[in-house]
Amino acid sequence: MIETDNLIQDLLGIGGEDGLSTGQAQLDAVALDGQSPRAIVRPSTAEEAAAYLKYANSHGLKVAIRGGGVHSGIGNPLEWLDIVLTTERMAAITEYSPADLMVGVQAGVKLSDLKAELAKNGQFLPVEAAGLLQGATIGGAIASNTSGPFRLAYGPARDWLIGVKFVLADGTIAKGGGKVVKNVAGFDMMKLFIGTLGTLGLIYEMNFKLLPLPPLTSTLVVAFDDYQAACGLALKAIDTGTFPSALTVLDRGAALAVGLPDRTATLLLEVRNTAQALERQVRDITGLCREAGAAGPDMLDGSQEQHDLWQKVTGFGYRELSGQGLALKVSTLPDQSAALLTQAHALADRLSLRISLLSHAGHGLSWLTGSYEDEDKALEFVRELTSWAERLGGSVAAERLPLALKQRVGDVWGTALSEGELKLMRGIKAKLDPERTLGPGRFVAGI
Amino acid sequence: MDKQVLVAELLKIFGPDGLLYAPEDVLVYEYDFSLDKNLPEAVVFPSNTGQLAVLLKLAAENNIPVTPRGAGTGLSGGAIAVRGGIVVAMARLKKLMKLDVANRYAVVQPGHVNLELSTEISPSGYFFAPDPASQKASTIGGNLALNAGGPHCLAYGTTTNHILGLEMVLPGGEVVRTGSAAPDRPGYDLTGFIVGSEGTLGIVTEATVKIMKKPEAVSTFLALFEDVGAASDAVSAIIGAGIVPAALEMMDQLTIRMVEEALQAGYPPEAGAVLLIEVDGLKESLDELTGTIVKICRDNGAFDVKSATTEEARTKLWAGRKGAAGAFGRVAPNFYLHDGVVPRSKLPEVLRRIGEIGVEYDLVIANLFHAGDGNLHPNIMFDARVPGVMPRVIEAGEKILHLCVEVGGTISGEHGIGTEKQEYMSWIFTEEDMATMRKVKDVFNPAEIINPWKVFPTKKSCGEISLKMRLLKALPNMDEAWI
Ligand SMILES: Cc1cc2nc3c(=O)[nH]c(=O)nc-3n(C[C@H](O)[C@H](O)[C@H](O)COP(=O)(O)OP(=O)(O)OC[C@H]3O[C@@H](n4cnc5c(N)ncnc54)[C@H](O)[C@@H]3O)c2cc1C
Ligand SMILES: Cc1cc2nc3c(=O)[nH]c(=O)nc-3n(C[C@H](O)[C@H](O)[C@H](O)COP(=O)(O)OP(=O)(O)OC[C@H]3O[C@@H](n4cnc5c(N)ncnc54)[C@H](O)[C@@H]3O)c2cc1C
Repeated sequence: MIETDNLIQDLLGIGGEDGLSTGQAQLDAVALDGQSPRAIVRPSTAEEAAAYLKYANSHGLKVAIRGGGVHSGIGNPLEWLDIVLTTERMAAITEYSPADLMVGVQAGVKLSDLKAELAKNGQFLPVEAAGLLQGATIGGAIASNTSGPFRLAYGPARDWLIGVKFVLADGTIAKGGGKVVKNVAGFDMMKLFIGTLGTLGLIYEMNFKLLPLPPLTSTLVVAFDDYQAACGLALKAIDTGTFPSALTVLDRGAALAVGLPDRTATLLLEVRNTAQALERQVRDITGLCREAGAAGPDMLDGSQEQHDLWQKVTGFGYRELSGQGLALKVSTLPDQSAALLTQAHALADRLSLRISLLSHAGHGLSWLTGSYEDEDKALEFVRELTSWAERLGGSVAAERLPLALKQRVGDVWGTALSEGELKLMRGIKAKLDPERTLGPGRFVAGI
Repeated sequence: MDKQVLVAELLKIFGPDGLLYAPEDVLVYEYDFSLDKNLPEAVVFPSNTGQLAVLLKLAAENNIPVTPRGAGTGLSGGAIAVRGGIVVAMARLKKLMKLDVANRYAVVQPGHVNLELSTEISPSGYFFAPDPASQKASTIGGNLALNAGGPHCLAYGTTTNHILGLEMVLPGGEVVRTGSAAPDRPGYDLTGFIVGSEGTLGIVTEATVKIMKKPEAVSTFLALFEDVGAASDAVSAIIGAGIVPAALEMMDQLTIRMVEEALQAGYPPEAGAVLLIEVDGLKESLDELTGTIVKICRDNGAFDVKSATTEEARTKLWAGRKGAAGAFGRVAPNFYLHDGVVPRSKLPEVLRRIGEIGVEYDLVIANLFHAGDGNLHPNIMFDARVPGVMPRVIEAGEKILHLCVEVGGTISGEHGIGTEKQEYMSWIFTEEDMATMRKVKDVFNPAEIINPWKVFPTKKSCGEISLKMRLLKALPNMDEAWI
């Protein structure tokens, strides 16, 4: 194992002082699972990043990649950590062609900056992430395959990524895709790198297709006495052709967390369209509410007001969870949202957790936050909810857990994957990062 | 393996009515809609996954190449058994296994024909969005292997956006399921990587696909221009204004003339170019959207706009667009269809330069294409019997593709690389890019048992490439097909 002094000399040789931090406070600030790295490197080009990675790879050093650092903790406990590589100095918008509805960005671009830049031309990228306001980066969002309420209208982030450039652990610089919206030349490396949490390579640049901002939007808030009714209306809104862009059901805790009144179940719907069509959508949904015997809906028309609310919904779960807190991402079929809410609350009551749950009832992703006193019970909660979701063909990702609990959970993604899938995933890791330089142990099944 | 032994083994797996091996019987499986062909030794027709697992075990143990085949409508040679061996025809695996309307997905076998899926689920009010021109014949398996596009992929995205999960058999016979109807299955996105891999990773035996609520209303209209330059200015302006219609197709004068002579679909022969535009959604939104697009077209030189006011007129317009491929036969006995993509702001420039290439090589080039996506289909018309024409056709085609790359585009938007464009891959990808792709491929199909010698360059000499071009033949007439 290389001495820290030598390590520092070598890293200085690669990227100079601008590219390196070794102050203990800085190192501790990027600690992962209780481990502080020995150095932080900040490459400013792909070539520099390649040189750092190649160096680490050939010296048996372990590297974690860091974007905004907002959620670097996602994943199984890191086996070992020597170097944190941050993308903060690779933060340029490399090409923006509004006329082509296309943008090229480096990994370290902050989502909030990108959003502001695109908005100047009345455009947006439908990639949503909690932590937008806290400095989450586009690279981090793609590496963790984030999504939010508007996935219902726009699909997952992967549908928007049309080109990717990456650096492998051995320093190979390569790419897939391109910058045109239709492209079938070569394999789909964009899909390969999405959601990899920094375990296959450094994503250093991405091309995306874009959309025009919607002309007008309306948000409807409907209160219910039970989950079933709220989720039922959500699905009905789709099936009757009102074409909602977002459908989110919130329990009491989640409603309070995003600043809505204290109700057993709240359904948020958003529609976006031209004026006349929007009016019709609102009218149809109001009709559905009447039929369902629900009061309201309350309407939010002000664009700022709507924007703020949906931002809170998207950021739900990104709260400083002090001490004994957990955050789970739950995947179910859309028509299981109500069952999830019921099941999770029954479990939480039995095991004395205080939970809040927000479910995107149109597309099947839900976020649950909870706090607990008794670690054994929290463990049981995670395990039982995970096996419940898996039995129904879904999954649970325990995205945030205190280290002590994380170490006991086993795999934070549960046991949804088959041996066949795992064999392929292990095979991919072994081909692209054979030395296990990048985030060893971080990924599913300890990949 | 000796052919007799092979046939005996295959008989054990597939029975006499699941197997063809006489040369005259396998002859129709030697080609697809591309320019290549090669005779397989046998063609098998599995009716379940289990049979395929046994076959792939046999194949791996004896190093026999196996090539999956859907409807054989592929334009890049993907379904051709270039190394001989066994072709697996998916024709009997064509059931709709499950339809879950509440959760908006269906499970289908790969041999299911694209259009039949939408027709079958139509009563539910939902549809399968990818609509390649060949949708009356091409299969879900072929569509997902090539990540097929279609006119409406402009708004709804290409096939990959609509595939949620797969069942696949690997060389050696292992059966793996990837993805799921529930979102974000943990781990690497295997499904996303397999889609578009041109059948070179494994044989897909089942697909879980997204279905979408049908739009309530549709408005279809034609914008008429003096020339393709003005029409492509209009396309750039529509996209530049941030409008993404459901479909935005272009036809040049030559195509219009051929289509009208053949089909009388209602295209105006006086136009130098037309845009076929469709918007869909709630009926309240259509007037405004149509109005905005029409204004942009007029601002960019459209001299007339014709709306399809009846369902009949709409069907006729689309039939004309779809029938264009068949109509080409009227002008020349052969055509070579290209599939480049360019950034949409570059359309005016690129179309002008394609015209110049046609003049330079003394070739007639017709254009009908997915303009909204920037996905060009320049169509070189010729008569292969004319001595010396082939090298010109090939060179002009290469020049066009080169041009696409030069302006920031790519060499295939939807038809795939297969055997047709494998030697062009190095125009857009470095050795490192391709080596990385191959490494991942090796995880699935290391010995190239399944679909060998495709997608990546084989370092064939130019001589061999032109040899392949000599096999060039006319596309079979396909009524109601568009490209
Ligand atoms: C409590 C909680 C709630 C959440 N809520 C949501 C939610 O509602 N919706 C949602 O979709 N997501 C949610 N997330 C996920 C979160 O939004 C994203 O992980 C975040 O946006 C990542 O951005 P970042 O730049 O801070 O990345 P980081 O935190 O720095 O990194 C995240 C991961 O990506 C890797 N990484 C970062 N940059 C790169 C790169 N350039 N190349 C390769 N790998 C890289 C890192 O190694 C790390 O594994 C939640 C997470 C938590 C813990
Ligand atoms: C007139 C015409 C119009 C066309 N229009 C379009 C268009 O608009 N858009 C477009 O994208 N394409 C178009 N095409 C091309 C072609 O129809 C599509 O690529 C289609 O997806 C091929 O489907 P297929 O079932 O015919 O597949 P095949 O040609 O049989 O096979 C295509 C590839 O898929 C693989 N494959 C097939 N089944 C499986 C399986 N089960 N598992 C693994 N691999 C498999 C094959 O090995 C091969 O590599 C057109 C073709 C024609 C002739």
